[in-house]
Amino acid sequence: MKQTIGLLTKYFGDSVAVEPGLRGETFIKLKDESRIREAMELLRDNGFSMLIDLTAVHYPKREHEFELIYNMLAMEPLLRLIVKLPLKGEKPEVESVSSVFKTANWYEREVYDMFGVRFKNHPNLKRILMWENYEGHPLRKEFPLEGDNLHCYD
Amino acid sequence: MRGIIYTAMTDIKKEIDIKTDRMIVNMGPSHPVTHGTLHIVLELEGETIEASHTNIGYLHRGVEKLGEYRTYQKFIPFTDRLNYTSSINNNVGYTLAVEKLLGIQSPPRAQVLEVIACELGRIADHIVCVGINAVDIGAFTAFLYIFKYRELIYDIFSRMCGARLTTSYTRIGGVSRDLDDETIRMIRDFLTRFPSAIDELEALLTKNRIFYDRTRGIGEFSLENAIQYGYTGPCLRAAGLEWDLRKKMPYLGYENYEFEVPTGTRGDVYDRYLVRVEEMRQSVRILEQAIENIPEGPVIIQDHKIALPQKEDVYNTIEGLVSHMKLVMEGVQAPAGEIYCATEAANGELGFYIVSDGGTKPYRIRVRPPCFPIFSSFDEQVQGHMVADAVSILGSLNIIAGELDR
Repeated sequence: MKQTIGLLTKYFGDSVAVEPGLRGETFIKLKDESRIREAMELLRDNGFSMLIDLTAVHYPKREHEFELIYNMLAMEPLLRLIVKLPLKGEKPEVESVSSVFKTANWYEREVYDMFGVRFKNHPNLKRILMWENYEGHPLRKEFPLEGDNLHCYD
Repeated sequence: MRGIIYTAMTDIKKEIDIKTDRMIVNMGPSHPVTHGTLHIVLELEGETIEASHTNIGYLHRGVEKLGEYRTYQKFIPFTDRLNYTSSINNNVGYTLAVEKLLGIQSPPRAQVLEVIACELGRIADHIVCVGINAVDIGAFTAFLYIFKYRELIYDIFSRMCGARLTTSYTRIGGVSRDLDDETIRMIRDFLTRFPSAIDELEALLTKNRIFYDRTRGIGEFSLENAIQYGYTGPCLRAAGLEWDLRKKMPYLGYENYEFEVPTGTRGDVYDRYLVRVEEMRQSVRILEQAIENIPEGPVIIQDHKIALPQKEDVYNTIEGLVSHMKLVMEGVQAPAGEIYCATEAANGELGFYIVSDGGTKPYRIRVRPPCFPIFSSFDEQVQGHMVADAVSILGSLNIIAGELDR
């Protein structure tokens, strides 16, 4: 793990910060969102061969409203690394990593569907869980849990 | 002479290769083989699949959104409805994640009970997967023989937790009920009868010429591709990698049990079937060790800020009453922070990512379902196969729509 962190700081300098987790996990915050694809490629070529999960968290009160979470797994030896990518703005856009990990294709569609984060150079950025002309992004904090009939399928 | 034959053969080939329009065939949303509700649009050239497009989301209930509005305890019933063929594994996975967030461990007896529950759930899940996969291909008999044993497992579940399908067996810091002697007897009885049932299943399928021809080489997936797509569980093991979180990152004391991790070589439907069958045998092995070594003691943590106190205490002491009320009205107070906890469910890695802001409800709860990344490879896998093979591939991936759409 130290090796990987050393490698990341070597390549990305000040734009990565290591955050200790609550129960021994390693979180890495990448502050420069334009370099996420590069970071994923670097991690993939250095043992972290699997992208286990890609999701987002919405913090409406923060300056960086969204935080993408790239959950990486190295198999030999078993290491888990969580890369966080804070994003600014109401409708942020970020480089897609679906060319680095094929599994990111659907995960990014889900993040787009649920949070409204757009991915550049994604082969097929459509809604995946909700239907196509649905309005709103359900997992945003301002989205109501129970609502009007506007959100019914017609 | 040779030239003549050659031209004759090419002529025949020309006749066969008549270009026809591509036909679009809809499989689903309501179709017997879709195992839930999902929609596959197949583009066919004759009988061969040229392209496939999958639509999912028909069973989306917004579990993650609902979780943000409920206390940690109240999310447990939602986990039943993720992978509903082995709901008990989801219960265990979720409570382990919350326990990790709280920094506690369930007592030794509860851990062994959870292992027993998990392995029974795994067997039930594999029975459904293997049985239904065989039915989809046309082998109805095997399904009928093996499904009897799932019924026995569900009888055990209904004694363990009062429900057959929606179990909600675990609690934060332990399990809801203790095993009684009758249930232990039922599990022992099941363990003596089940191995012969697997032999029966194998006698019907493994060397069955029709089954072999329908599954060997179908949906072959290389290991590199499997890793790229984020495969976990039996499908990854069938592709040839010995990867099992119970071995690699033991939880619930799995390091104390002796079992082996089966792997395949080609990663096709037949290998996935073989891996699942062998896993059932290994689960029986784990169960045999677990059932003989259940330690004495409580089944839930004795901290009344986390687990409900005994009913007697609630009625007779003021401390019991207060902690009962606090837990029911407010819930468990979790520290602020983020955790990811993964367990090996029947289908692969089931992970829960919890973001806590220090309250009694999660700020964000993310379920990492094993079959979501696996199913995303379906379009690539069926290309060039026949329509009937799409059915057998779909069955072998073990897609559970409840978990896929959440």
